[in-house]
Formats: sequence, C-alpha cells, structure tokens
Amino acid sequence: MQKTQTNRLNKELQDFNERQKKGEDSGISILLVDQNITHWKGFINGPSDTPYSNGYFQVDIVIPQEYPYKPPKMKFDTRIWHPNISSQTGAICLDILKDEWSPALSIRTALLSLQALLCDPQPDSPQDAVVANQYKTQKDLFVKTAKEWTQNYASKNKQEEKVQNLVNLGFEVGKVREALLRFGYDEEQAANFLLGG
Amino acid sequence: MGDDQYNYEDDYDSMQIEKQYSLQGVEILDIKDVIQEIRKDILELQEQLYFDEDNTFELLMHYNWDKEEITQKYFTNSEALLADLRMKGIVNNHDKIIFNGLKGCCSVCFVEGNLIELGCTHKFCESCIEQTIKQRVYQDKFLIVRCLQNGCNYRLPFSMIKRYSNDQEFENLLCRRFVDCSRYLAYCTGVDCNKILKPQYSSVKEVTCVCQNKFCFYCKEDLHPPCPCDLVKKWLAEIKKDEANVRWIVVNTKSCPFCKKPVERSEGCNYMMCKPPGGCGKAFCYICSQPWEPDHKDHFKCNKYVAPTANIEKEKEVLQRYNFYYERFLNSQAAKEKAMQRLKQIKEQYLTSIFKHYQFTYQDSQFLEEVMKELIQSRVVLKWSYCIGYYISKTNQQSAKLFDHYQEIFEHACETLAISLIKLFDEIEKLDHTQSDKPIHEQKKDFIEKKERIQNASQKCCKMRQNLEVAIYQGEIYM
Repeated sequence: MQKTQTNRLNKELQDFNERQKKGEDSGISILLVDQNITHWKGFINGPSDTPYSNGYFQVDIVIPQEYPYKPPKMKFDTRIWHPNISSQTGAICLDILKDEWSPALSIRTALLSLQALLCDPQPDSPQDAVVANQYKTQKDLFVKTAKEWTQNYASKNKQEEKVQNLVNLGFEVGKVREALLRFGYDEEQAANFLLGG
Repeated sequence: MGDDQYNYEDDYDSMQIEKQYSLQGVEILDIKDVIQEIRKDILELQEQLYFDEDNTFELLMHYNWDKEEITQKYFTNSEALLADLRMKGIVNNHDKIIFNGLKGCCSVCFVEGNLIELGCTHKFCESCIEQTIKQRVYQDKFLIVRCLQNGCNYRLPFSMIKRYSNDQEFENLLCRRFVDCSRYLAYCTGVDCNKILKPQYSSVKEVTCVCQNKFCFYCKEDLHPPCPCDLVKKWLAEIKKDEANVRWIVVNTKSCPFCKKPVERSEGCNYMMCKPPGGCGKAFCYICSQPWEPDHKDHFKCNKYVAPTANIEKEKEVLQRYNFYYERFLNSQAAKEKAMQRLKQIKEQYLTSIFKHYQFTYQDSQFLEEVMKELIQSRVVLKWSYCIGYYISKTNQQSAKLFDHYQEIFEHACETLAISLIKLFDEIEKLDHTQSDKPIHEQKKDFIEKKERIQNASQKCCKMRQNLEVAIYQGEIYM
C-alpha cells in the first residue's frame, strides 16, 4: 500500500515537473514541505479578470495514507475572500475534494479545479455563509472586498513588504519567509510565532 | 452469489427457531433475517422485470426499495424508464466486464500488470478497484461505488462491491439502508442494541425491544404519550435550536424593531441595517432599538432614553413562555428518571425489607411496583403535556381551557401520589435502623392502610391521566 502510494506520488511529481518545463499549467506550482512526500504546498496565481488577479495563493496539501482512494486534504494558507472558502480557516468546499473525488484525479487536477473555482464561485454551496451572502446580494461590495483581501494577503509586492517589515524588526530573512508562509502572510501571527519560537 | 440464492430456504427454517418475540407482538429480527428479505425482494423483482441481479439491486437502491413504484413505472413505460436509468448510470451493462487476459499500466497506481475492464471500458488493476471499494464502503459508508475514472457515471456491479468489501460491513450497511427505507422495520434506539424490530401489525406505535428499551415506532423517539409525533419533532427541534443559539443570540444580537429578526453587530457604529434578503432592509439604532429616521444624526452617539416598548415586552413574553414550558418539561423528565431509580430500589431493596419486618409476601408488596410504574407513565405523559401546552391552539378557547383543566387536576393527582410514595419509602428505609414502639400487628395494620391509600391515589392518578389522553386522542383538544 505504502509502496504503491509513493510510486504514484513520485509519478505525479515527475508529471508536474515535466509540464512545468514545457510551460503548460501556467498559474499553478508545487513545493514539498521538508522533503516529505505526503505534505505539499500548492501555489495558485489568481486568474486574470477576477478579483483575485495578481494574487499568489498558497494551498496546504496533506496526503492521507489512503490516497489516491481518498482525496487529499487541501486548505488555503493565504487568506482569501471567496464564497466557497472559509475567510477564517481557509477550509475549502469543493465536491471533488469530498464525495466526488475519483482516484483518477490528482493533486495537479485538484489544484486546477481550485483555480477554476476562483474564476467561478458557487455561492449556492457555500463554505463561508457571510461571503456567499454578500456575493449574492451585493456583488460590487464583494468584488471590492475580494480585491482588498487579494491586495493585502496575496500580492507579491505586499508579501515582500511584509518580509521587509519583519526583517526590519531584527528577524532573520529565511525565518521570516518561513513564518509568513506558515501563516498565509498574516504579519501579526507570523511576528508572534517568531517572537515565541 | 448465484449459489446463495437457492439455498436460503434451508437457512430460513433454522432462523425461525431462533427468532425471539417480545411481549407486545413485536418480532425481533437479526441482520441475517433482513438480508433474506432483501434477497427475496431482489429475486422477485428480477423475475418480474427480467433484469440481472446487479441491476435489480441498483434499481431497488435507487427507488428506496419501493417495489410498487418500480413496477408501476416500468409497466407504464419501460423504454423511457430504462433510457433514463441508463443515462443516470443506474442501469449498466455489466456483461461486458473483462476480468482476465488484459495487460497494461493502471492509470491510478501507474503499475504495470493485469487489468480489469469495466462495463464502461475503463481499465484498472484489481488492487486499485479493491482499494477504492474498501474506502467507499468502510470509510465513507457508501454502497454505491462509481467507476474510478473522473466523471464516469458507471457504477460497479454490486456483486463486485460485495466481493471486494468485507461481507459483514457490506451487509451491515445494506441492512441499515433497507431498514431505513422500510415502513415495517426499525432499529432499536437503545444504546448499542442494534436489534431490528418488526411489529406484527402496522398500527403498533409503541414498541419494546428485548433490551427493554421502549420507543415510538413512528418517529423513533422515546415514547411520548399523549403528544403526536409531529409536535414532538417540532418541540425537539425547538429545544435543540434553543440550546445552541438562544444564549448566543441574547448576548450578541438585537432584534430588528421592524421585522423582529435578530441582527448581529460585528463592529462599527450604531447605524444598523437589517440586511436583505434575510432582513427587511430598514435601518435602526443599535443602542435604543428605534427606527433610525428621523431622530438619529450621529452614527456613534445615541442619548435618547426609550421607555420599554410594547414590542420588547412582547418578545420577552415569547421567551418567558417558552422557558415556562421548557422548564416544566425538564422537571418532569428528571422526576421520571428519579421514579425509575426508585423502581430499581423497590426490586433490589424495599421488597426484602418489607418481608423481613412484616413477613409480607411478594403478593402483598407487589403493589409497590405497579404503583411505581403508574407514576413513571404519568411522569412521561405530564412531560409531554407541556409540549402540547406550548403548541396548543390559542384560537379555540374551549379546547385550551379544557386542556388546562385536565392537566391541572392530573398534575395534582400525580404529585399527591409521588408525595405519599416518598413518605412510604422513607419509612421503609428506616425499618432496618430503628425499632418502633408499636407492636408488630399494629405496624402491619398501618402498612396495609398506607397501601390502600397509595393504591387509591394511584388509581386516581391513572384516571386523570387517561382523561387527559382521551381528550387529546379524541380531538377535544386542538393543537
């Protein structure tokens, strides 16, 4: 079991890298956490023509023992204002990550589905009721808030600014990046973590 | 699978012998019994429609085991039904499955080896199919497993699912599904009991399992005489909602003065908009709960003193009214629990004490158990009468008055009985520790007198209880 899983995950990684080289799959990328094949970080570029454009979103991916017969556990590390993603915890409501998972899907296709979800929110099966309600009743305000959140939490410039801020406080740059990644670029939480640890 | 169908009759006889019957005409079934019924259903329908076993199973699952609906639809327009079922992936061509002779790379685990081609022509290795089935059946508790290919509607045949999943787990799930669909069967609601009950008559409402658990067969809740099931459901939902929400709502929200919906202020100024679509769209002040227009100018200040308005009073009244009934409902529940403990004590302790001191035999003291059972029953009826009291129609004055009257005298009779019992129990408990000055024959006489008084009180309580029940069952009291 464990062996077949490792085999499959290695194949997935290989496939991912090949596609990256060929320039397919623009807008998604991955990284292993601590060289652990069952804990990945995925990155999604916010699709253009959406409030998430110019955003760079980080997704935490934990691969359960039963993978690929059971879906991977995914949640957003970067805070995001979206009807199907919790604004508090980053939990995602997407059918293929739950009952509609199929073993023929992969981490790559799941990330692509998430990217599609950013283009095409489903307010009728919401994860975050407040956001979904706003999406339905006050679209303008929704777009405005989602843009603001993208600016604040997901833009490269802003992220660099936050790195600089914490470095200026006297923390080591590598540790700062690590802490910010860990808390989805929430500066305060990252600072607390750095102070505590 | 095919072989199993033909020898079930043999099993069936031995099953009959083991079958247990409870006192009230309720048959207690085993999982095996239910599985037999399921097989019988499949076989019957299979012969009627000329379907194979796998597709018959899917059909029954899809229509919640409603055989009449299936045959009716089938014989009205079989072609349309089949086309629809095929499109939805419920009826499939399983004959095309190829188990042997195919080799290649499995698209799920990327391992080279033997492949199985499913009826939809997608191919996977046996191990991946097995793992997928196990995951679905064991972990997700599903009986339907779709093709491993994303977006493919094809369902794996149930004989395949059965083969690769653990038999017991599969049968458990199947049995639960069947029982849940059936109007004639129910799982016992007792903790860890899992027995399946089948009343002999469909009119049986209150059932008792061999584990002594009693419940309402219709709504699967604890017994709730004289309250109808729909009110019980409403009331329990109200309680659940209440426990989770009321405290939070009271602390964190204000009611919109226009539409009465609770409105939450997360942060910000006093200007509150009761937001549509949930709310009415009007604005009010968070401090004084008055309409924003025309008095309020400043978003952060409100110095206006407001006398409590009729609205606020009315809301309080609604809450108080609910609390009134809920409190009494809970008290009766607690009193019933205590009475149950007493019943246990009677059996384990009091009867022995009575025999030791007065030499009364079981026949003389058995009345205690009977009376205690009456008290328990009355506590249950009293408890549910508060639910009725909460929902009783206020438009029909006559019925409300009648209810109040019956409930009041019943409650009084019930309390009288409870008090006289407690006094007697106190005395019985003292028997082992203190010596009475009275000669034994007088003590005996006293006890007999008390016994008669208590029996009278119990009869009265029973009569008052029945009066209330009859008035409700016969529709003199409206809900």
